[in-house]
Amino acid sequence: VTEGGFEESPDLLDRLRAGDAQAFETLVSGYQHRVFGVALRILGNRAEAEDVAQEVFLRVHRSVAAFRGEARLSTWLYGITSRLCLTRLASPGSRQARLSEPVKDDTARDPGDPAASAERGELGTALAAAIAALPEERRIVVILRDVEGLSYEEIATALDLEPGTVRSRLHRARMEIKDRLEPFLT
Amino acid sequence: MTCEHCRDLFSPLVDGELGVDARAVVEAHLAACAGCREELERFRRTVASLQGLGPERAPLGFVDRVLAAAHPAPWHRRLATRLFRPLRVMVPLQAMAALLVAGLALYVYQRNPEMQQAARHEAPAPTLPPGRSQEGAPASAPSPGASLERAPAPAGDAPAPPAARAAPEVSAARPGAASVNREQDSTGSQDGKDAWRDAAPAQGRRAKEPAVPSPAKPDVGPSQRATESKPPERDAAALGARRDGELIGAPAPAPWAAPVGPLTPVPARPPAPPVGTLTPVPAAPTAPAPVAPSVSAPAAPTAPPPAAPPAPAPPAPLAPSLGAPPASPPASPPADRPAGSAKGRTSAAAGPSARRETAVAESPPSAAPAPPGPLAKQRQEKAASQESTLAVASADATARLRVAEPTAADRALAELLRRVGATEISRRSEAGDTLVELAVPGERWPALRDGLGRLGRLDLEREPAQLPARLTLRLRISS
Repeated sequence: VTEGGFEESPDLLDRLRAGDAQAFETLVSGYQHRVFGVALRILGNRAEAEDVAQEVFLRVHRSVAAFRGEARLSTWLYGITSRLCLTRLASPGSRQARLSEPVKDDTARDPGDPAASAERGELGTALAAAIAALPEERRIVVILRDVEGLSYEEIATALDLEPGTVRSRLHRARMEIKDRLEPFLT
Repeated sequence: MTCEHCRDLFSPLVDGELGVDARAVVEAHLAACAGCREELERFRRTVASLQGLGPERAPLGFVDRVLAAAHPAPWHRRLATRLFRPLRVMVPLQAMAALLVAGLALYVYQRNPEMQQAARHEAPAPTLPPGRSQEGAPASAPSPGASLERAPAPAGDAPAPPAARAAPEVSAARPGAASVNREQDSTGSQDGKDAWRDAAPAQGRRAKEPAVPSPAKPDVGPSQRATESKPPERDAAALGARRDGELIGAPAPAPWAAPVGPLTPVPARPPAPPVGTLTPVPAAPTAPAPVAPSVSAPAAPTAPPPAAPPAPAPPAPLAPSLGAPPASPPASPPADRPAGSAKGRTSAAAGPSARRETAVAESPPSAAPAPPGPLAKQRQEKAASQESTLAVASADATARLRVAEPTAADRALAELLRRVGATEISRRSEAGDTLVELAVPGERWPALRDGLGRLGRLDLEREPAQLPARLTLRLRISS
């Protein structure tokens, strides 16, 4: 199974259940950037994102034996990440730290045309700000769908939501972002 | 379809999640509504922008940190880390703990004189005359004679217990007495174990004899004791008897009680009965206390030299003798030493020789020795060589006997000794020769000398000018 460039071997889950340390290292190496990216985009703070990402993998390591495999491993990871991020967002200290660090979008860095790069940089910053301005439940859905590429069903599974709820949250999130990006879309 | 309804379906339309029928309806509306087409275009660009967001990268070392957290080190490694990792803290703490323990031990040691006493007993005494090391042997093997001898002591004499109790103060208060005490410590206890083992009976004995007043103060110094008006021979006899009793009696006094104990019974003590028959300890020929030479000699049953001259020994020399180093060599050759002069000698000067004489006098060969205990036996064997060396060095006569057949000569010598009533005190090998120390009654010395001359070629190297009552001969037998 290919997931964002990471070739997930079919027996990875079995090896993880067997306590294979090498399999766990493979899992962490393959999903570290995506888990961290989701956490960063949800939380808006790199330190918190790293803490959450580390906790995600530790939870996987502890509870992989109980994972029934009804969903994809990546879906399970995203679900854990989302729940941990929501928990972290609920803590006041985390909210204060998040507000003190403005969200920047690394996609603005482009060695090509300076004018285009600047425009994309502005768009990226505006996009990151628009995402950060979304309500948390919508933010998570749009990130999982548009950034991470999960299907509606996968998002519903990861977040334990109804597909219709996912659809409506996603649509509202996109519309809000569109409205915020209106100056860049004309 | 309204524009609002159409725009609500933009997400499924863009994501391909819209059904065929719904898609056809939406496309029909978009074909007819320019505003919705523009809105759909902006919506597509927004989604495209979202999907164009680049992937975030986890920080460097993230995998290692996760793996380290997921696979902690083994328990023993974590334990070792906890114990030894903060060396900057642990090493000073452990050093402080060691210093604290050492300081406490030193404090307790200094505050407790008994511990110091015990340490002194346990430490080897380099100045200890070897013969004294056998003193403990009879103490562990009581003899009936000893108990008989000891019986009158508390009645008529100053009891040893008070003096014994005062002994530590003596050693602490007076330097002279301290030397006595030290000597007694090293003498009265061959090793710390015996001292402690014997201390309990001694204390018990003191508890049983508390009513007897002590005419002599416990802290009487050597000079003070020396100036006492009692005849020295009586003094010596009493001391010897008492000393014998302490030596042979089962409950030996506590080591710190030894110095003063023998000295205290001087005033009221009657002449000691002949204890030679009651102190059958041939294997313990040494007098234990520094005053022993002048003490035990008169008590010998076989008319020992000190008992013969009635003149009391000058007390003055006795005092320095107590403080003199016990291991100093004999000052005068045996030939120059009259029998009675032994009393006047300092114990240190006359030490080994006098003790040897005393032991010989007190231990006739016919006397049945009290069976020494295993410990005492070991001590006897241990000190045998040194004992013989010192004793031989102070013999009255020395001779060299060259024989053709050593084995036959040994048998003949044994027969000769039996015939003349001599006693073989010690025997050892030295440089291929056999060094034998003999004790013979003075009047039988000519017979012994002649007999030895018949055994082989006898070279008499030294002979006493005046025959003592009991003569010791150092005989080197070579082939």
